[in-house]
Amino acid sequence: MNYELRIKNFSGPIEKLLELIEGKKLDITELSLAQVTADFLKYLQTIEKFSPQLLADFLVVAAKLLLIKSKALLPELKLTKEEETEIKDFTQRLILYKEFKKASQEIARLVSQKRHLYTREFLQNAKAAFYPPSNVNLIILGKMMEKIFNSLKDLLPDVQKITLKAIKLEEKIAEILERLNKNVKINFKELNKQKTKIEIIISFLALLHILQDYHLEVEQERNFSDIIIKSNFKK
Amino acid sequence: MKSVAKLEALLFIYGESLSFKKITKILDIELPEIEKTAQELKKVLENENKGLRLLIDNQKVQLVSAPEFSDLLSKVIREEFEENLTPASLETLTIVAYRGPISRAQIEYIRGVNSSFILRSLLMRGLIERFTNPKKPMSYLYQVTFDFLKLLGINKTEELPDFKKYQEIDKINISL
Repeated sequence: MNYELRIKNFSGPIEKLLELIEGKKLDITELSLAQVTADFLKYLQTIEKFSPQLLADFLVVAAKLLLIKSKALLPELKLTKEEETEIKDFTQRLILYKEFKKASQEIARLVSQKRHLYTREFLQNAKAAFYPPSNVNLIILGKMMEKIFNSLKDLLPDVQKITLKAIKLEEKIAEILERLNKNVKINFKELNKQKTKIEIIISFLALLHILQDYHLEVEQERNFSDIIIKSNFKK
Repeated sequence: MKSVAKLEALLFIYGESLSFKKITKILDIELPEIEKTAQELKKVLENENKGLRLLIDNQKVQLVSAPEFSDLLSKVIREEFEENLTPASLETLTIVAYRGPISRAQIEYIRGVNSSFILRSLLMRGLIERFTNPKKPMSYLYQVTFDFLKLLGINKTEELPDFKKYQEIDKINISL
């Protein structure tokens, strides 16, 4: 479940506070805020368990409530001017929220009346065509194209260019035969210097083919050592 | 008057909302004249009990069907207003409607809870729109759209219940 869905199941801190006050049929005053503080803190524990993301918003409100509660319990407690305005401001906010909550129910009522206004589609009867603005010129079009191209490029994954060279067995056979024509002796390693794995395999296959058809002398001392190919061709 | 008919014809073929500014260019009529013309067209449609109405809000106008035919027309129109609004999105939408253009910080000040997800989903549904705050280039201001008015069946935000009251409701200074 994503964050949005999770928090949908919970009221926000201000909403919850209003719920608690209205539940006790109290007006929004400092005194009633002090009265619901305990209930609010209890609710905070549920929040903590189910939606840690919402907790921060709730803690801000809880801190304010505790200040208000302290003030109510300890009349001799001296609050700073800043704290006094903060408390006053907070009660105001709650009243403001309550008003908007009420208004949102009005909006909901309007929506449910289904007195929707319908409109036509954008240029409904116009044929689809290219209508360039009159100030368009080649330079602007070019720049736009470049912009589109660049933004599309960002969407594409990095591409590496890989060229696969097709090697024909016949060509390889011809190549080896030609070499044998020129040199009496060639060695396999030398033949395949700096070649890809596939090319080496093809070379080997080519060599096997040549051995079938021609009379050659081939030496290999041990497994995987170099192969020496000697031609018997008469020069 | 002739420009009333011109405006009506233009809005009929265009379909979507048009800004006064754009209309002045198309119809070659001065801005104050356009505003007067729009008001006149609106009156004509209402007084003569036509099937159409004119939305005028925020320097934009759009021709729409009259709200009393919503039921009738919903038979032929795809369900564009079907999806339900959750209480949280309704609440956010309300604040934007009554107090827009409004910043996210101001909305969250009233709601006391992070509202970015809800604002995003309302933006996606086209019920609100945002633009860069001219006073604060790095932040956005949100306001309701014509689609919001069309959903509610009202002509302009001022027609919302108790609009004036909610505009003036707080004496609290919410810093932008």
